[in-house]
Amino acid sequence: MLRTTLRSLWFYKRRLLSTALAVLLGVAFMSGTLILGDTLDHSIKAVLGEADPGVHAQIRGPVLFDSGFGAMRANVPADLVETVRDVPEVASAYGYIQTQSGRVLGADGETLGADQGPPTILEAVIPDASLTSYEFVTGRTVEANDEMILNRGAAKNGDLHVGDKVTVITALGSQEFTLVGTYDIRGKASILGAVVAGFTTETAQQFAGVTDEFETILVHGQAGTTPDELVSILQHDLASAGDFNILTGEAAAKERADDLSQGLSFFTTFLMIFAVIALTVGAFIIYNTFSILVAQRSKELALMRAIGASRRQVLMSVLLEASFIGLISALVGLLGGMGLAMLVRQALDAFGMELATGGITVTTSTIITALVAGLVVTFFSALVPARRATRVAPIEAIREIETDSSTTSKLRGALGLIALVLGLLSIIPAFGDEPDNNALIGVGIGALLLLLSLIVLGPAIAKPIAQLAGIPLGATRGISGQLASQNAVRSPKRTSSTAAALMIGVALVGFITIFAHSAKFSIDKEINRGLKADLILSSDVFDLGIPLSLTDEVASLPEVAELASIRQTFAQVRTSSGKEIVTFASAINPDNFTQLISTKMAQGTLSDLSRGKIVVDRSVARDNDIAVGDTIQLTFRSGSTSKYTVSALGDDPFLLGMFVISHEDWNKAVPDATDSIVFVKASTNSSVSALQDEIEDLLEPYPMVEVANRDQFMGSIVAQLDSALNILYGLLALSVFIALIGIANTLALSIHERTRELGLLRAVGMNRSQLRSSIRWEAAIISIIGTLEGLVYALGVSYVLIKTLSTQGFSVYAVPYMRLSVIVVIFALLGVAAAIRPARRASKLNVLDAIATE
Amino acid sequence: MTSTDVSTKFAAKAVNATKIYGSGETKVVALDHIDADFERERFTAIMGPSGSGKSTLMHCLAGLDTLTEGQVFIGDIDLSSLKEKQLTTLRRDKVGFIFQAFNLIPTLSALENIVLPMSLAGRKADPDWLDRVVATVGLGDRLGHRPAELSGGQQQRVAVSRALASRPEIIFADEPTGNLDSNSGGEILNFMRQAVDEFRQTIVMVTHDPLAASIADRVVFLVDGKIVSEIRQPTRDLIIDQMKDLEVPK
Repeated sequence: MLRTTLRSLWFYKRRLLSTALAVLLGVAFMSGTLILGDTLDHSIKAVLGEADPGVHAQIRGPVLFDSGFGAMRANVPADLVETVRDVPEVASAYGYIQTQSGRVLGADGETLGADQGPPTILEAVIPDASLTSYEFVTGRTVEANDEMILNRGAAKNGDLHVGDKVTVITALGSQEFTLVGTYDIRGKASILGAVVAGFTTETAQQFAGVTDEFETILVHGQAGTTPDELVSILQHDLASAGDFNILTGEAAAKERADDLSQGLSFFTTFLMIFAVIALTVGAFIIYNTFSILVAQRSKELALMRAIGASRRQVLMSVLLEASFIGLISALVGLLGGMGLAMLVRQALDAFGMELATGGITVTTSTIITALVAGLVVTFFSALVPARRATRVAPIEAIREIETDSSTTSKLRGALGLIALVLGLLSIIPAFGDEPDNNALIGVGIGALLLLLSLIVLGPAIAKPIAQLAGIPLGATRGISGQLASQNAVRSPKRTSSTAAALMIGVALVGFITIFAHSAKFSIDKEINRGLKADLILSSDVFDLGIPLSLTDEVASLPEVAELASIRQTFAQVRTSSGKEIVTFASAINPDNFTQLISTKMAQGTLSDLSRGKIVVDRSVARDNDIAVGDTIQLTFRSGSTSKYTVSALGDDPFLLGMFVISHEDWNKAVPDATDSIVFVKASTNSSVSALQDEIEDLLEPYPMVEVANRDQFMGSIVAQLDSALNILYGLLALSVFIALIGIANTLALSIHERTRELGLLRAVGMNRSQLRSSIRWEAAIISIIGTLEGLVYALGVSYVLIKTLSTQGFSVYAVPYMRLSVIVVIFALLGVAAAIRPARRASKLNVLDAIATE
Repeated sequence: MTSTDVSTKFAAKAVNATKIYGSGETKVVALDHIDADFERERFTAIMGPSGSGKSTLMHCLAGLDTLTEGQVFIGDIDLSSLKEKQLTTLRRDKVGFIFQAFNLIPTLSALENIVLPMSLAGRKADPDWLDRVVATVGLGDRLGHRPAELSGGQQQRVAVSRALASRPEIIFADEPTGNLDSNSGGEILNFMRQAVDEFRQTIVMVTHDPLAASIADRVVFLVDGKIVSEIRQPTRDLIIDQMKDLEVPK
């Protein structure tokens, strides 16, 4: 049988090409994602995983909470350094501190480094070379508080040279430092594109907003003491001094690398979801193709059975074919994935990421995953058609085969209805008064079940639609239209499974489009309702807000009637029942805030927010059992922990945030506080645009801070949503492409099947263009069925989802009719375009050859 | 294995064979309680007008189709007692087939088609026997070609070789010369005759061609699902006369 199988594969290779392509693309995407993740990981480990060789041990404070990007630890007291130095095995010990809330400006006045991605690190330069690895390229190390050093890569990018006065912006505002030296780190001009600026310890402490604290103490041991020995000695000697975490320099470096890897893994997981979607669509194509191939080879298979091949032998033969295709396509897909990963790597380098390794990292597990994925998808998709192949009765070697015009078997119908009913039941909670997280889960499950039911019941839906389509088509397009409709009607299973691939594409694209559109409207509505300010200031950069000194400058402008600001950072919240969550906390000054933002409240008012009090968003309160009057505890990065009484429940997640305290309390808890957003109202007798110009003048030395009027502010939010949407479109494009290959494939194969019939039509007098047109219309019908199903699904599911999220700010369900129509038309046209080549080939059939009996 | 099993005189037998399609108004009685025997080492032809049930009878005898009532035997094996798997094995090892058209797997060469039943069984063909068969039908230089590269006559010769190569108990041929010109057809008939005379094979052939049937040792005539007559040592003229009688409208 093996020989028969291999021979079949080669013989039918053209027909199997599209199957191979579908698997190939899906596997390429998947392996590309895995390789990219591994490459990034490898880079990170290679670069960050290396410790400074002189740092034998590190002493850190206890963990405050886990932020998801690593553990947040309390600082260590500065006087601990002396205690450490007293330990005889310690050769040298210094305190170290750094902050990432800062930016260095280049010679052109623009911020150095990227807005997102590689950080800017402002660190303390330790005066002992045995604890650092600065390799000075020019100049020297810092000696005075107004001096700084910079890594060579950053200096080059910013066109900065030794002797220049460099502007550094932090929570303290804008300051100038003299650049006294540039350096390499372990031979590299920059680590993964990060900007690393060094200052005296005192300056660094000021940036971080602390005086007698350090982030960690770095220790260099005496010769003859190993790092592990040093660590246990320190653990013993410092046990009485407090609860400290002591580990070797190597272990600390590894931890840093692991934390970053973990953070990046979200990115690869996200991409993998789309790879899985692509493979699922591919599975449809394979199922289709093999169904058709089995049907076409019925006679051959019947002959085999007549001669004495057992069912098992036939089954194995078909499955073997499928497995071969799966394996080979997966191999090629793997190569494609490597190419993809390389391309992305180049792109990242161009964006300044500067990955350490020269090439890409392909692990054994990636290779195995890719091969197994391709194999499994192909094998299981071909399973049902293969089993159908075994049911070919030997008698059919002699008879003509009839096409399967049934819609659904009883079993299939029952399964489909069960899925439908279960799906509808799952989404009922979404329509309740207070949909919570459980309702959200229900919606997710319901959406999947409904999709499944659409696919299973597909033929039953496709048949009447195709029949309906036949009426106008027959009337306007004559025999071509009639035939197109009849062909679609007479094999409803095939019509619907081809359409299903397209349906999934349309459903996904339609869903994210409607959702994004609704989100825009919701946000717009909320902001317009609540925002009374004329101008809004914000920072482009994630971890650096607007310095408070700058806000004061803006407030003192005569044209400013009122000004309010919101401060934000993440913190750990502990409820009275002991529940702990890490989330974003914010702070306002209720006196001026309420003048500029009108917020919806569920219980209580915002204006009695004062010292010791906190306002909680009502959905968050409901999900975590928090009520007005409860005491909750907040712990910040700085280590400061305090208790607050819940004074009110807010109902404005966009504008107010989830946990809000007063500025007074904030300033005590967050030493390097900056404003995240500043709201400004112009006085009645000044123009808003004039004020905007004046503020822009003030902002010149702060290139990362922007001022926008209401329209511009909304515009920037919309722009962000749009770019997120475009990225999603791009990721789905692959799946859509595979679906289209599927349609072209199915059409080509079913035309081949109907060679005799088409030849007959031509013999009897149908001309070439009528034939082409008939095939194109058939493709159009399939496209329309798939697109309609996908559209209805997208409309329904997005509606339900938004209803579920209505308590979290999504109050509007808006359908972008224009855009949806465009999407529908594009998909329908693409479906028809897929038919062009098969149609042309069909019309070129030699009539006599076609109708010859053998 | 040649049919030297003298305990059963008949290579195949139908007992009270009945086949009914459909029901009610669309009911068709294809076989009407037929009893028929087919002797070993003999060439038997089954003839009859269209719709007489001759093909149906053969399909049921070969295990390709099932009876509504009655039994069929290959040797002394009652086909209705066999499960599907056993039936398949029977077809593979004990029965040979020659169809009117589409006899060969298009992706395999002539030789591979010939040894296909044995490949399926996981056995190797006896090389001497194989050479003899191939030499007899004269295919020597075409063994490596695919069916698409062979003429109709050559394809049927390959089919005959395949039927002979596994030395089955009985060979069923369904209009084997139907698609061939008179020369090729004549050749095929001669090979089949040779198979019975030289190789002591048993052949049952369905045909509507009197010339083809005249090669047989015995011709059985079917009309409307019943055996109406038979001729032993037939000649072409005898057959034509008999058929004229059969087709007189009642």
